[in-house]
Amino acid sequence: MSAPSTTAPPLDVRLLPLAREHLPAVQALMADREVAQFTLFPVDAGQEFVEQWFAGYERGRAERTKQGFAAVDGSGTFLGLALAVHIDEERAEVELGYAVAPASRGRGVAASILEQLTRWSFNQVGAQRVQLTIDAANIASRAVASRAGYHREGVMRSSYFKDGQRSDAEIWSRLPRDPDPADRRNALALRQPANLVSPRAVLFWTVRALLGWLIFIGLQVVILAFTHTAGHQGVNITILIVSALLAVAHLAIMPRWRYRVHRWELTGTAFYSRSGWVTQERRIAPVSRIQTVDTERGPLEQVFGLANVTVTTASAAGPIKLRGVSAATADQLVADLTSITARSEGDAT
Amino acid sequence: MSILGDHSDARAPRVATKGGPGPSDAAADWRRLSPRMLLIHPVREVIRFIPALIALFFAGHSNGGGGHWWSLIGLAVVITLSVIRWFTTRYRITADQVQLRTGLFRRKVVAARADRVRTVDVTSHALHRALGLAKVSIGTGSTDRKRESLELDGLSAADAQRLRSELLHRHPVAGSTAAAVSLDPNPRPGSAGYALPGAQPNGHRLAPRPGWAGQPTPDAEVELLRFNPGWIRYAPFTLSGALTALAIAGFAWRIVEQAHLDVKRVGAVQSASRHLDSTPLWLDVVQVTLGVLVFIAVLSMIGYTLAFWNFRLTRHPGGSIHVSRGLITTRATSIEERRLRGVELSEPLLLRLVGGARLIAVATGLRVGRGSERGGSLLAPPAPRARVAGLIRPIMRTGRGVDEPLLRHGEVACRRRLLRAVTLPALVFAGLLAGGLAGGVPSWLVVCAGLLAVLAVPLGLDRYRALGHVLAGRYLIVRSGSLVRRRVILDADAVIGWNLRQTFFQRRLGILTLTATTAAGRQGYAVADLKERASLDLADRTVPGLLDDFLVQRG
Repeated sequence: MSAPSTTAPPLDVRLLPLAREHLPAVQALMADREVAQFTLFPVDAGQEFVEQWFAGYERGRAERTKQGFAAVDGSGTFLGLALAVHIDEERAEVELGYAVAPASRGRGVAASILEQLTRWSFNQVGAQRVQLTIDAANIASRAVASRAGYHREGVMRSSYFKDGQRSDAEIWSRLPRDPDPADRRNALALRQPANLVSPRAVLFWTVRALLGWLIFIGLQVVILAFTHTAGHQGVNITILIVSALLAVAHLAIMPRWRYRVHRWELTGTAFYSRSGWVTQERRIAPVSRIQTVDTERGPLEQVFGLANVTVTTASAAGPIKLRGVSAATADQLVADLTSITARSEGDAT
Repeated sequence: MSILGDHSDARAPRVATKGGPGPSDAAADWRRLSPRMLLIHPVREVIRFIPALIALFFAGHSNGGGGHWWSLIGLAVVITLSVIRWFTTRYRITADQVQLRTGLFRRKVVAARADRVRTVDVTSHALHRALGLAKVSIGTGSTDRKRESLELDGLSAADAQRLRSELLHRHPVAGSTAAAVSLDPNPRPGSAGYALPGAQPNGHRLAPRPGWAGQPTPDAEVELLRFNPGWIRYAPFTLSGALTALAIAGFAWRIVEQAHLDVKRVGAVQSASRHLDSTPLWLDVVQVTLGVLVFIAVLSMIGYTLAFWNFRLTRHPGGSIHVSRGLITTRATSIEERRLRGVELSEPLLLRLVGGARLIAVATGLRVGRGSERGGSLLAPPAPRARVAGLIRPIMRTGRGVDEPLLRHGEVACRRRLLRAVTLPALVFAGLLAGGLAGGVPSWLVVCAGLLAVLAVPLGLDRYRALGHVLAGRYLIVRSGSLVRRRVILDADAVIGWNLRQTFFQRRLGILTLTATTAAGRQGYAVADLKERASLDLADRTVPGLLDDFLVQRG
């Protein structure tokens, strides 16, 4: 149930059809706290339950509706369970499940099990869709699914779990045409956010920077006017010319560069922005963690019909600031964020 | 006397404190702080007003005698005011709130919601201890701003303890503040509600834990760390001693200056300078340096003893971690375990050289502060590294993270560390050298700058050696820093966003600095100078699904 680390070498994981000899190890696995927490196995699975459960898989094998495997290493040590918990041949769909024994966690066992099960589902069963149901809090298992090329389709909120408990369950799936995770890893890139800011922002940034430069250059002119020492005047004029050149370069480059960099995008699950020019920063925050959305319009921004939007999360390091969007876009964005976040629940920290 | 409502047994089922307004609400009367505070307040106020009283005394004298009368009247006013303060301060604890009412003319009521209490601090200064009192600070909210902490200054020590355990181990009130994320126009750092019933830290949902599900909690605490006087040997290797020495030196200097003392006439100084005159210069330097070092070492050992004597780290089965410490002023901090999202193993350079380390909590609502106590988030004082690292397993309930091998950041990161460390000192050295050749800069300054530039090389290399990260199970482990090397073990579930920062040069090298933002501890933990692909891979594995919408195939 954990991601591989570098402590121990990855194990050689093999899947064998589940047999009676594996049952003691299966019972021990079911007794583990984390397994009981995230799987449908009862909290106190006794020998009787394990027998019944095994019989169900034996029947499923005969009826081709279920298939159980034991994951073992090269020496035959039991590592975990690899299950096709539901096979629907007619619809060509398979639901998978897995659990790793506590002693073998953190060595890529789950990843290997899922990879083999997925391949088996596509090649042996001919599945067109393979599905996983993962507790939203089971972060390790979600990581395994993500790395195995599964896509998170959504959350079944407060779905029935067991023993009268309810929990948020995520649906993950993989299709045969999905890219192989190995390829995906090697060519991973973050695309840029979809939306540009308002084109008026270019003029706005130019005017704002121009005002700053005018003050700076104006001060120099004043100093020049009141300086009469010949030697000093030469230096002052040089500084003045250099700052004027810098101002022209800054005004010509900065606003356009900024406009090309500044982008944002809101999806149902995340807010994504890019800002800066020489130094650029991309920030991504899950919508479920957003706490406040502020819009703010300074006097100059009002002249240009622009607004700033600040989206904060519980982290002081993570506010996303959107500069130079049009006022209408800002209002629409706030409305969208409000309706999306109203749908997500949780602590947001 | 019970603190919470009318049930006199602190171990009574907590149902009585649960739910909306009930009979216990009406019974929760306003009550005063401990009457023993009547003894403390005057003393404290008098100390605070000593300068004013002295001024009064002299003012009275210059007006033709009777100065002692004036100061007596002043004293009486001060004492009366402090007594009035006790009479006007009341607090009350209802089923879901702690309220504090203060002020005679300007009434002020501060309230803290009991279900949002994140930390409880119990401090006793020397006077408090003499009278068996304690000050309770209740922290709510995700920041530690002053107005958000509620202070009950002066409960009896037993009441303070009881209040602390009541506040920290009460049963979550169903649906009280699990309100959906608010889009409040006013940022409310404290709006992060109580987790849903059954929800537990680190994503351990639906797993019943003893003592949490409503039954009374046994008071047995598990001791994780106890002070060992031998640890005082680590004190000289912290900066606190040097800082204290600086402060003392500055203070002494001011006194000397203000009182127009002629230092040369003080006997000790005279004999010392006479002694130094009789020995060669190199010996003088050695003697003075040694003297200063010994002075700093002694100061830091005293400071360490004062702050950490009787240090005790315990875990309460009700779901909180307690730290208590202090020789004269005792301080006890409690952190709810669900707020503890990680730990930081911090090894300042000097401490690292002698095999020491300290441990700091990464907890929501508890920002890492400054000073040797780290604003109350310290979990272990400077102590043997093995002993401190051994705490991570019981605190985080995982074996991962202590000595987990880390992934390096590669050659590019190494070059960048070196370049960044060396550039500035090298430029300064070049400038000074040019000045020195022109004859304007003393040669010793040039030599010093050259030494610094050379020292920057091992510093940069060490900074690279420190860089590392790994995702081990549910934990994101990040290490960086040379002057202070920090290894942070953070629950991946506590990561609430990513910042990917690239300077112009980083873009050209195809690397970026990835910062995991979180509501806990330092708020953001950076993984510096990692290849873009490796950063995305790490971010994607740490928070699965978040990046899915934005990831594309390259090319």
